[in-house]
Amino acid sequence: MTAPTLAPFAEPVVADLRAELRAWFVRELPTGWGTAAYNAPNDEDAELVFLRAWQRKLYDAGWAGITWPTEYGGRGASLLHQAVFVEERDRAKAPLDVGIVGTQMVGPMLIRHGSPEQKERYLRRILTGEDLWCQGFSEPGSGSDLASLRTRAVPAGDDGWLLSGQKVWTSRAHQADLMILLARTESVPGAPHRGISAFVVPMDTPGLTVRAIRQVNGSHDFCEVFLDDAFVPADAVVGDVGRGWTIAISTLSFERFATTRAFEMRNLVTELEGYLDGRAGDELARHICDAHAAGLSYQRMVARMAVRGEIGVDASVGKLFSTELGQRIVATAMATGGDDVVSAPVTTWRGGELSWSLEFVNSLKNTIAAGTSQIQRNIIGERVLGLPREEGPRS
Amino acid sequence: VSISLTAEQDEFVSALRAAFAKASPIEAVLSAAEEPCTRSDANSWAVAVAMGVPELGALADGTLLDLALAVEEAAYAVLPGTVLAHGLAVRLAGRCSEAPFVADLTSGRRRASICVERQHTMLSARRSGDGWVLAGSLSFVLEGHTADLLLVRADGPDGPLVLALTDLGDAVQPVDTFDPSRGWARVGLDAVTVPDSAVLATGDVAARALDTTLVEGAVLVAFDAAGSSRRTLDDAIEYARQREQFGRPIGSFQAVKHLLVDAHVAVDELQAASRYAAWAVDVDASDVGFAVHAAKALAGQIHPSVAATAVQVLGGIGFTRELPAHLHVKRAQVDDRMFGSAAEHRRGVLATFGEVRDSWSAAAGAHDKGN
Repeated sequence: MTAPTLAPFAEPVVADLRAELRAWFVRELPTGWGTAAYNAPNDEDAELVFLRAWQRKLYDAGWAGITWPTEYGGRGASLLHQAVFVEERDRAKAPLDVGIVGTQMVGPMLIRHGSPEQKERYLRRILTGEDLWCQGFSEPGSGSDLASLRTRAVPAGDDGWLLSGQKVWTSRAHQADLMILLARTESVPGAPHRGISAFVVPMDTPGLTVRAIRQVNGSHDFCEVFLDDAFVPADAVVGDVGRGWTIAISTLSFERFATTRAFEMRNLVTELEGYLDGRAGDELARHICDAHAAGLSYQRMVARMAVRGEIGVDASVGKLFSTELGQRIVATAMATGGDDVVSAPVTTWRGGELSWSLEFVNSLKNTIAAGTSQIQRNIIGERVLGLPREEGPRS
Repeated sequence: VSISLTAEQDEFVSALRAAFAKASPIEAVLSAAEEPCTRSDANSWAVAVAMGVPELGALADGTLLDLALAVEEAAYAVLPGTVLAHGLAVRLAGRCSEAPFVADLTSGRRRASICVERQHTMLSARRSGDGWVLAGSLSFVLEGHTADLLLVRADGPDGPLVLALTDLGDAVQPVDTFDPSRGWARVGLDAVTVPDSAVLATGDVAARALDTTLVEGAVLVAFDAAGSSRRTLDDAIEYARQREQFGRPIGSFQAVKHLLVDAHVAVDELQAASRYAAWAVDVDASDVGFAVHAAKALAGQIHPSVAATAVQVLGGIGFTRELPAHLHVKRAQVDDRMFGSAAEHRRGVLATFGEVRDSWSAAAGAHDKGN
């Protein structure tokens, strides 16, 4: 066999892109970024201003919406390019998208399922950072079992819908401009996945109120959202009425893809190497091997997706493995570290500088957010390995 | 940088899987495993020859990745170690001299094996007349009893030598090992004399070729581990779909399902790391040392664990010799003793981490605009 080896991430065009990105991050990140010398914004509002400006910078440079069509402000490039961007972003410890719900989940979902008017109205403003989105999916009684959701949408004549119910764990709802909301438009006994619809809801809609929840990591960007006969017009529905579950699944698969932390783990384990300074070598080597494999597995998944043209259930593998690896890496730091790892309060905004205490508490979040590790295992078991569903009561 | 296969490689892998399964169905594997020292794998070797596998070791037109994919498929079929041993031997021969027998090896007319790891080669050679006199033995030679030719390392007067040994007769004795899916031989070579033509390489050429072979051997065993892990996991998944308890397939229970998923994720990581390592060797990538250590370290960690998970999911029947799960459990332990253990390669990972550190994490202060 003399077949050449296809290694898409080794192509010269990818090397050029990588070099361009590496130089761009050095040029554009603030002086002192990633070190204690960085003069970080000192409150949440200032942080938001910085992050929105950063998003605008990404947009102007063509790094926002890398896979999005150019007509909506994207770069029109492949998933490989997006993956290289993520790899270099994480290498530089650059900020994650402030509007990750918009840029990584709602945007790709709208490109797929939105009406031409919706695409025109929303997509570009996501990339520029003008509109921040939040995701109104989970409810107090509907977490992992999302299809049991009870927020209701009742027709208000022919003009629109009245929304009533409660959403929870709605990240950045207090800062968002728009929400993608799942509500029940019909109750179909025995088929909870049917009769759900997806709505675009402006956060200043009368009848919608937001209450922030204080989190373990010191932040309070997790929110509750209350809907009390909040009116949205008929064209707020994304896709077909009653077919919102498809929208939800699509959005969630984009979320799993976006929350794969393979390259963050490379970064984190490199920090751990420096921190351990020769201690716990065998344990460190195990984490290094896992971070190496996680990055390769992610690239392999992206290469498969680029061929297939869509994100599949294999995104769960990367999400599951990398978030659990994060816990193992941090556990080593906490177990071998001195008093320094617990002697400072957890602060959320550090401008790329590492804090083991913050990594520690956030590592607990990462295996819950975007679908718990246990739900990812069910998805992989049933949809990748073909194992049967566990029978049980359905609400 | 990642590794995805070309369409041609994908087709080759699928064709090999089908051909090996046909030539050596699992019933045949199980009965052969009862007589590991004397069994023949003539059927599967004939298929490998027909599929062009022996040529994959030729340095001129075969990549390590192509050979390694064949090794992975051989392990998936729970075949003996012939494909691995032969391929590695052909690559070593190609690095030494224009050995007259190489054409016979690449055509598959003759089979070769290899013994180059220091702990298995207590062998020295000294000049005597026009030839050499050997002293010592080879303790574990993979499929040595079916090989026509052995490529071995020996300590010569001025450093290591690469020797090609043939017609060894009774000197080759099967060894009863823990690993019934493969054959192992011990070769006693005290006072054996060989002609000068048996010496394929000396000096720096020999030393370099042997070092390279240790690296390539580690990669190939990582693929053996990936193939064996994937096979025993596939068997366990299939069983969990069919086997019912409490009126339901056991694979529907999350306690069982999640065990299998964790094993699947691990095998996915191992496969990605091993393919990358083979590619890195082929293109002499700047992180090749790290990549090989990481692949073999992962192999030694994941293979035994996945093999044990499969036994656990199979339950009682998994602890019998009616199913092949035990073959993988044992193969995993022996694989970890070939070309360096996981613990040794983890030390290598730490020693070579500098090859990747900068591409993983920008140094602190890297954004200070050069001031």
